[in-house]
Amino acid sequence: MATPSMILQPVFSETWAVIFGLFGLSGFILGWVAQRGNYCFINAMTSIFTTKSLERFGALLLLFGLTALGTGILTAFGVVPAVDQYFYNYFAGWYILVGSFIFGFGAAMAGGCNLSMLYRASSGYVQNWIELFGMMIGTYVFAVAIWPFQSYTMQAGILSTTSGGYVEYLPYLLFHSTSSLAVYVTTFIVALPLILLGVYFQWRTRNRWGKSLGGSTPGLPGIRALGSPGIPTPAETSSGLRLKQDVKDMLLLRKPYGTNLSTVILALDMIFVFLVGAGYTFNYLVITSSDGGRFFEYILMPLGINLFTNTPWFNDSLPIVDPSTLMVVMLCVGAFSASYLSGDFKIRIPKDKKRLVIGFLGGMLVGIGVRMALGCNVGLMWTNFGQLGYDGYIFLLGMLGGVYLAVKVQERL
Amino acid sequence: MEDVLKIKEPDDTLDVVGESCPVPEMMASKKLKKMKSGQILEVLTDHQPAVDVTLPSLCKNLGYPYMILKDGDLFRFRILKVS
Amino acid sequence: MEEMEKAKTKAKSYPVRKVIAPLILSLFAIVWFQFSKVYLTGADNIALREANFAIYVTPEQLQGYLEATAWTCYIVVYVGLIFFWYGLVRYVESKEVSK
Repeated sequence: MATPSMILQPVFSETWAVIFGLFGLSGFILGWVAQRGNYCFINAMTSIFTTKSLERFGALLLLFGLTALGTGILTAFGVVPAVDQYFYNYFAGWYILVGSFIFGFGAAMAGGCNLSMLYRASSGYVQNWIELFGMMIGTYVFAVAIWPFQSYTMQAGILSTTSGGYVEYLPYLLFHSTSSLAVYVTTFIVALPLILLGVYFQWRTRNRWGKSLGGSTPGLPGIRALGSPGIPTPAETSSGLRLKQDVKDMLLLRKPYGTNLSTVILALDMIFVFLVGAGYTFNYLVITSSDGGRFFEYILMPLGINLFTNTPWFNDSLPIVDPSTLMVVMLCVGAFSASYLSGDFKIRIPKDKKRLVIGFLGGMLVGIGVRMALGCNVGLMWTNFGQLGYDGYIFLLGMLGGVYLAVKVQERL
Repeated sequence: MEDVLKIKEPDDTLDVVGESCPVPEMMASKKLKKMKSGQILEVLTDHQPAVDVTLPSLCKNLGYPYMILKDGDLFRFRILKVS
Repeated sequence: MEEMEKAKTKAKSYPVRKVIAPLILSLFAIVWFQFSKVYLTGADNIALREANFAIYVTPEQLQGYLEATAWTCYIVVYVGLIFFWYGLVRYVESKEVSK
C-alpha cells in the first residue's frame, strides 16, 4: 500500500500577508467571542466537580464535534486535501497524558485555561497577567529541564510514536486509507458521538435543574433580565419578541453571548482557519507557541538575550514568527475591545494576595504542562479533533484528571 | 424566600472581588458546605460571568434560591441554604 | 430614592480608564510593529547566519508578517484614537455636569 503523501497542497493562492491578516482576524474573533461568552475550558470542567453541572462541558463536546464535522466534511468532499488535515498531526506518547494532567491542575489552580488566561488578562484581570508570566517561566523550565529527555523518548520511540502526520490520522489507523470515503466515515465516527453526548449532557443538566427548583428561581426581575445568558432554563422560554431583543442586546454588547452561540461561532472560526491556511501553515487555531514561548523570547530580545541561539526547544522547535503570532496578538486585541466596549474592562486585583502566588505557581505548571503535551486545550486538544487525530482524547482525559485534583486541593486550601 | 433574601442580614460573606471563574463558585461551594440550613451566604464579586452563569448554576444544582443585588460596580450574590 | 440619585451621579462620572485604555492600545500596536521590524528581522538574520533552519523564517513569510502587522497597526491606531477622542469628550462633559 502506498504511503500517504506528506506534501502540503494549498487550497487558495494567497500571499503571506493575506494569510497572516486572516489569521489575525480569526484571532480577533476568537478573543472577542471568548470574552463575550466567558468561554473557559477549565470552568467547563470544574463545573462538573463543583456544581455537578455538565452544561458547559457539553458545550465543549459540541465544539469538538462541530469542528471535526466541519473539517472532516471539507476534506471528505475534496475541498481541502487530506494531507492538509493530517500533515501537522502531533506525535502521540506518554507526554500528552502527563502534560495535560499537569496543565489541567495548574490551570484550575491559577484560574484559567490558555484561552481564558489571555482574554481575561486583556480584560484587566491581574491574576491572569501573573498566570501568563508564570507560564513563560514554566516554558523556560520545561525547555532546559524536561525537553532534552522528552525529545529523546520521542526520537527513540519510548512510549511514543516517532513521527506525526498520517501516523496519528484516524482514517489511516482505522481503514489504512486517506481516501475521501475513509475520511467521510471517520468524520461521523468522531463527530456524531461528541455532538450527541454534548446535547445529552446539556439536556440532562437543564432537566435536573427544572426538577430541583420546580421550574422557578427567585431573583429581582430587573437584575435577572440584565444577565441571564447561556441556555435558557425551562422556566425562561423565549418568545420571538424576546429573541429579537436578546439579539439586539448582544449586538449592542449589553448582554453576553450564550454558551451555545459562542460554541458555534468558535467552531466556525476554527473551520475558517482550517480552510484559509490549508497547505501553507499550521492551519488551526493555536495559542501556546506564541504566548508561552515566543513572547518570552521576544521580551528578552531587547535585553540582548536570544534564547533561540542556545536554549533547548527554543532553538529547534519555535520559528521566529508564524501566523499564530499575529493570531494571539489579535486575540488579546479582540478580547480587550469586547471588554472595553461592553464596559467590562477594569484592572482587577484579587483581595486575597495568596491568590497571586497560586496564580504564578499555577501558571508555571501550565507552561510546563502545555509544552510537554505539545500544546494546550486549544492548540492540542480542540485542534486535534479537527485533525481527526486521537491526541485530543488523551489530552481530555489527562486534563479532567488534573482539574479534579485541583478542585480537591482548592477545597482544602 | 425573596423577602428573606432581601431583608435578612447575611450570615457569612465571601469576598471574591478581583477573581474570575472558576474561583467564585468554587469558594462559594466550599463555604456553603460548612453553613447550616436557613443561613444566607453573600458573595461579593465584580465578575459579571460569575453572576450571570456560574453562581446561578451552582444554586440551580443545589436547589438553593438566590438573589442578585447591584451595588455600584459590585454584585452582592445572596444564596439561601435550604435543606 | 437617595440611593438612586447616588447611583445616577456615579453613572454620570466617566471613568478615566475608559479614556486612557484606547490610547494604550494604540501605543501597544505601534510598539509591536516597531519591535517586529527591528528585532524579529534581526533575529531572523541571526538564525540564517547560524544556519538554523528549524527556526529561520523565509523572507517572503517575514515580509508578509510585517505587511499584515503594519495594516493591523494602522487600523488599531485609528480606531484607538477615535475611541480615545470620544472618551475624552465624554470625560470632559461628565466633569462639567458634575460641577
